[in-house]
Amino acid sequence: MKISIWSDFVCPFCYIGGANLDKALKNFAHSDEVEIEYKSFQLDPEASYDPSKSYIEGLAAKKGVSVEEMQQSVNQIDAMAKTAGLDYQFDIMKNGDTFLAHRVFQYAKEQGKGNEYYARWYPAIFTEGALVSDEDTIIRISSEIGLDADEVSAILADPERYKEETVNDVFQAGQIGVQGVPFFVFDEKYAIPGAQPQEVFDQVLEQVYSGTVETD
Amino acid sequence: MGNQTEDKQPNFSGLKTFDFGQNTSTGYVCDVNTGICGPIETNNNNQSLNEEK
Repeated sequence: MKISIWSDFVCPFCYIGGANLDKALKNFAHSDEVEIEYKSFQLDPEASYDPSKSYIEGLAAKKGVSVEEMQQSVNQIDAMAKTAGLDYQFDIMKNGDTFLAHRVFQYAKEQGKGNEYYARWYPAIFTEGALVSDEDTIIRISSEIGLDADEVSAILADPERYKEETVNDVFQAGQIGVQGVPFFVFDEKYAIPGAQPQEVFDQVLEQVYSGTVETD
Repeated sequence: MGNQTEDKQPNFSGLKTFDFGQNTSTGYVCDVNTGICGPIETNNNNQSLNEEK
């Protein structure tokens, strides 16, 4: 079984959905037959880091809502993260453009480390307050999962490297109607939009594996 | 996180969205058009697996 996942590093529900899928996979008797492929997606290609604003203030300004309203949304996300066993530190989170990190992700994927790359970025952003658009941070994260730091620096210095692969992932998402992330596709046939609870993934894994997908 | 595949040209034609047979949403997404992160209605998708039967 193959699971394709469109995701963005700064997407809070992507980390939650991925964590719930991981938990379901731990319970799944055939998890050794499951292949996972992450794909690039950019939620906000024009995102930029503004050090004068907190994460919540920045989001509120961008969405045109009050900080109080944004805080309520964040509280809901925080509760879901806790349920998934994740530690979200909104006080130190930073929003930023993810394109550079995605270009390096494509290199990581080529090196067989794409999933590790995603797995390292999520806690870096949501728990440790790492800035996804910062080149030094991208090099550090890449090194931590065993990628060659010099090669990553060279990729960052050349805007054309892995650009096509990144753009292709985003384009493909558009072709199949992805409106938001996370977006999971099982065996290139069955789509599940959004972060789902572990129980849903439990169900889906069993149904897809056994070929008995329920339809009501 | 499971194994990793290097398949370069997957075929997603005929993709169907899971229909959980419920009226309430269980999924949450960050929407690329609105920028809003929140609940979605999984049953509101145009295609469901019912169409395959």
